[in-house]
Amino acid sequence: MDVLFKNINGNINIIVNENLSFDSFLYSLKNRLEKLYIKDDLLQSCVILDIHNLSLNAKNILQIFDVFSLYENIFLKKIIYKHNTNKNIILHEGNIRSGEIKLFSNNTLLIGNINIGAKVIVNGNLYVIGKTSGFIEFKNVHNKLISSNIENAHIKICNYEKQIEQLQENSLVRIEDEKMIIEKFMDRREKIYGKSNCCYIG
Amino acid sequence: MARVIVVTSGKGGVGKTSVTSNLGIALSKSSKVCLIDADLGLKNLDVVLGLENRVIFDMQDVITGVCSLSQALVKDKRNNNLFVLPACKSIDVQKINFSYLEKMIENLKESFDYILIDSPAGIERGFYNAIRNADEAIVVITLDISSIRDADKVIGILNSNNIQDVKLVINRVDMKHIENGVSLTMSDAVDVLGVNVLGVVYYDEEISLGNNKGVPVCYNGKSISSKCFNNISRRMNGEYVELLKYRKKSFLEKLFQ
Repeated sequence: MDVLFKNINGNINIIVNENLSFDSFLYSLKNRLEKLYIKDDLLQSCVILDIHNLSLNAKNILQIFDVFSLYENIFLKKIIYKHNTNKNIILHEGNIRSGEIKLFSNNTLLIGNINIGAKVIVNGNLYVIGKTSGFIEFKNVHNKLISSNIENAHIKICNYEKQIEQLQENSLVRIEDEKMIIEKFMDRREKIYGKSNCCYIG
Repeated sequence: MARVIVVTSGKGGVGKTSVTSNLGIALSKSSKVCLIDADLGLKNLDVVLGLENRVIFDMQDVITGVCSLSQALVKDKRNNNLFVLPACKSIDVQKINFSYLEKMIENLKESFDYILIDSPAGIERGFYNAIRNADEAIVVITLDISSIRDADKVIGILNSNNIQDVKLVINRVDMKHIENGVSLTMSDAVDVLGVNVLGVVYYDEEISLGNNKGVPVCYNGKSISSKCFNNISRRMNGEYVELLKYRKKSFLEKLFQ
């Protein structure tokens, strides 16, 4: 078996065999989760994914989140993995807290929350798996913010600014026709698979 | 070797000193504990423990060489395992050289199992002095927005000062207020702060009463807050203890309390 499922302290620990490529891991994971979902109609399960043998980049992590987002009752709590640095995407794990200022010089995947009072300046697109609050500034007019939750955030893209107070789920913020627009990010997937839940890293 | 833990919060008045004193008492049932009052100039730890009259020397006397470290430690009158290093009586704390505090803690580490440092409120110099010698931190919060916001800043500072082991104690939890929507919920706080909860202390008048009398609530084993502190101490010792369930007092219990 390439992907093993173990129940430890109420969490489902998924352990992956050594010498498995990322693509075959993803394929096996999809199949096993599909079977598990049909078989048990799971009552809110938390999953810890132990893939320390695999070297992942930000794109791979997004692909894993995409798989888990198809199941409403399965929540991805933690991924244990080897970090593969990819120059095109910066990966940041952990919350950005009130009073902190972070600068990202490229496209960034942020796994964690941007709390109220934090400031993030990005020279690229920002993908947040978590809650986005605080002040987020983009240097380029073509930059986008994609986040599972946006609430109480002040977003500045180039010279366009907007305050988002109400909770916006799975949203994409960008500039179009000199206006800042907020649209649903998961629309296309929802059309295919139905309404999906987003996942967090705990 | 002792575990050096700083008890901090950012916001004032959330109960850092009460948590430090009661946790110290709870831990001292099985371990040797030293409490250090790093709230220099104000010094409340000896007061809430009812040891104010026993303080002869303080931290400043140790630093200036007037007395030895062991002479300055005050033993709790009810507990042989609990000691307090009182803060300076003088309000002129700016002149104190805090590099001595580091040496003091290094010396104390050999004789104790736990060293709890009661940090001052705010993120000024005193706060940095309190955290610089700690390996772990307990952040005390109450369920109001300003306390959580300040705690968020403090956790950021702790992490950037290489204190990664940060845990949360939610103090003065009033279930009636949570049910009525007056205060935030515990999960709101955890969502924002993203750190593990070490324990919850329910609102209990006995805590203020105990502090005023100089007999911390942990010496009264029957109160709900005392059970909360005992549970926290057990968790700190590595036991798995579930969060205490809140139970409303029945009419008869209220009548005969």
